[in-house]
Amino acid sequence: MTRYALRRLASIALILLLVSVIVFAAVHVLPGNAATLILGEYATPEAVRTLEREMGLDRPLLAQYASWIGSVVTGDWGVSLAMKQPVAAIVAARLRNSAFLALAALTVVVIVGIPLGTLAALRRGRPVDLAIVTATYVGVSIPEFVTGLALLLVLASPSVGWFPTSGYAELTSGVGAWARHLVLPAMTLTIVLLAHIVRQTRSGVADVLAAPYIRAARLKGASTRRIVLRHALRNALLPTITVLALDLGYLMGGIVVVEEVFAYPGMGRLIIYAVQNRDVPLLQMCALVVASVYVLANFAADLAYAWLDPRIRYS
Amino acid sequence: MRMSRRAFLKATGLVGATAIPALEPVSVLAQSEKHGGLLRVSVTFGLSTLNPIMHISGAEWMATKWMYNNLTRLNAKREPVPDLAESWSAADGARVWTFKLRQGVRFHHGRELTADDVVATFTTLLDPKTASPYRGEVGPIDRVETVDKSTVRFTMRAPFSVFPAVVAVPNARIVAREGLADMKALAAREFGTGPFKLKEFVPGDHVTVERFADYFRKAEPYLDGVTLRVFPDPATELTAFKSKEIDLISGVTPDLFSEVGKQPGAEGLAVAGGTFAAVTLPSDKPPFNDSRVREALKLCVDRKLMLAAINSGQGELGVDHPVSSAYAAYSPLPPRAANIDRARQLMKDAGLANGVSVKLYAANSPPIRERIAVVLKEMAQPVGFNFDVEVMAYDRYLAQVWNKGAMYVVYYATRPTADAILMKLYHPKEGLDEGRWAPAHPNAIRLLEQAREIVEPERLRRHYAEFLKISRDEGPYMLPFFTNELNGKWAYVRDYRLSPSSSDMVLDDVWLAADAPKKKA
Repeated sequence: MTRYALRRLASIALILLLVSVIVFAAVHVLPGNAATLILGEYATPEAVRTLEREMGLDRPLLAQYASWIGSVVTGDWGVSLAMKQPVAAIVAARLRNSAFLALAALTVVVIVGIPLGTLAALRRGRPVDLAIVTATYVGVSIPEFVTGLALLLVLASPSVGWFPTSGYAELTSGVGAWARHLVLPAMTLTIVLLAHIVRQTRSGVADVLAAPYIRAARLKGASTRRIVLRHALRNALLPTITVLALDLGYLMGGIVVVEEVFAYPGMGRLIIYAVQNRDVPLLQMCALVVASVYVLANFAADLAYAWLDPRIRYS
Repeated sequence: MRMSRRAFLKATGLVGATAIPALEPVSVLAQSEKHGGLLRVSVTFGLSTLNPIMHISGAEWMATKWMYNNLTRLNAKREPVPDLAESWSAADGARVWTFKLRQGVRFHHGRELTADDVVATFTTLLDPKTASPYRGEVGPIDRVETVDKSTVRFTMRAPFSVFPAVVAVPNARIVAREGLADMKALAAREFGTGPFKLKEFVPGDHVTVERFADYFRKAEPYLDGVTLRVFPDPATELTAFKSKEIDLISGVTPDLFSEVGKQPGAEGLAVAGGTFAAVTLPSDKPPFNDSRVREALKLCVDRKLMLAAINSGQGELGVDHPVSSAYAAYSPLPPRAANIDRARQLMKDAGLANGVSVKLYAANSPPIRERIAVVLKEMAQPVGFNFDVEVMAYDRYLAQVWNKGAMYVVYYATRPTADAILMKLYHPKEGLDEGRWAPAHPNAIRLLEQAREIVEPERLRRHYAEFLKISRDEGPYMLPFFTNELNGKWAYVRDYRLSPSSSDMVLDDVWLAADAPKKKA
């Protein structure tokens, strides 16, 4: 098990290195650089050259990459080209905001999605099943910005005003304010993510319920409740965990639209900002952080497999 | 005569009592009523840096306006009035400008403002190593020096009559010299004298400033603080405004503007500005090197219809030059109506009776660029212009199209003076000559240079009128209209005056009425 974990960690390091190379190369394929974007339509050739020299953008690409990775390895994440502030502090603040939102959304998804999926499996083919599957599918089919704006217009409109339209409140300004700001974006994400979990749980539970050992359990007289909770779910949930791990990665960096609609300062908006401003040091760290979340979440999911199903051994 | 103690007290009390109503009640009452509260302002983009020497976005200009002062500021007619400088004078035919500074102005970190700070600010701004985007737009400054503690002298390479208005530009905010020592750090802190000092700055999201008690305009500002928030989505911004999470929307899009006015208790503010989108007609190569073809294109455009279709009618019709009524040097020309027959005739005369195909580029931000390109394509088709419109991301546009001699849509915000925008658009050295027109029109360019010698406003206006006519008839830009500056605010925001350049947001004397949500912040 330990050897397996070490091997996986080594491959994770390799993946992150590859991500950094690909992102770096991709940014430089795009036209323009941080200097042209800082100066905009006020640029003169001299000013562009001066800024390029100052930010080291006039050096060969390989040298730029080497000096960047050299400092990252020694723990120096560098300074954002557009914001002129330490990348580490910017990314840390956004990562924390994204983590709060991701945890809020995932918690609701798990609490609502798994019971709904199980219920659908138990009532397969009946109206309840049909209703659950249809409703979640409608949720995932509507684009996020439509769902987001609809919630905004209903629940944050001046006449209702239950929740703030947008933004983020620090925990220091009170747990109430902090939580209220999370509700609408988290609700939008829940609607988007629910379908995957419900479908996965439903088919997982349905498969397991048809297995011989469930029949055996029924024959020995176990209650449906005990069969579902103790025998079926434990086996049925394995693929669901993988889906949750992938969702976590998505929530930490891929929810640009929801962050824009609710003016929520998370990682997604930061990545777009970094790309638009050709802010290479900032973009590199964002990409690495999001990639780390993805691979680590998957790694954790694999370890959870072994814990949930003793038959699985990594050796 | 002996005066009893009582009589004495009564007498002095009376004097005091008469003095108090004469001096105090207005300000005391007004202060207790006007003071306090947090004003929440919204924008839709751009809040990366607070460094006044380097910033280029309207949101950043707004924020530094609250924390810093310039030597001068512009009044509603765009004329310079005192800010840090209390007076100024020209000598040697507008070649030497001397500014006398206000006494007793303090920076937020406590030190008193001196002429050395002004010199340090302009020296940094002009240093090529700084690479300030605005370096070319503060005039032909040769030398800036301290005369005494409160007097600064600028010596120009050539006459520059509009200098007192030009020093009001956002990039010429006066920064304390110790702040200029670290230009990188200046992106996230401030060394200003302004009505507010920096409290919190989260790049790309919001900036919050708080009242500076030692501000030189005594009793001002009235607000305890201001927050500027970025809303990437205008629909969310509008909802936040309706829910009174935002008190003042800066830069409302024209299609949402009517929504603002519909809210009971809310007001839409509109003022003619100098911001415009225009199409470059590269005049150094076919087909636009023929001035008849340029004129034909200008005659295709039904400007009124275009303004209605693109900007909900919010604006002022243009006649193919960049000086709107928002500028002090404005002089009106008759409006230009579409004339398709005349345009066809001009095309025929130019040997293009069978039409011509040209590539027309537009960046996707702001959206008005793309709209102008698309509407122009339709309007110009009947005359034989066949435009192949390519819309692209702003970053790609900057790197591959902008200022490379192609036909594309430019977008420029209001400048402090007509000189600034004219030089920017037409002059090959002081600006970029994006229409590639200057080499063939040296006389017109000379008119722009001569204007810099004219100090007397009325004479300057007449002088510019000649250039504007040439620009209309032969110039390398099709400029259909200027957009109005549009803001939305709740009625409880008092004494706010929208400037023709909306990023020129002065909040010194703005106050919140008692029914404002954040009056007791």
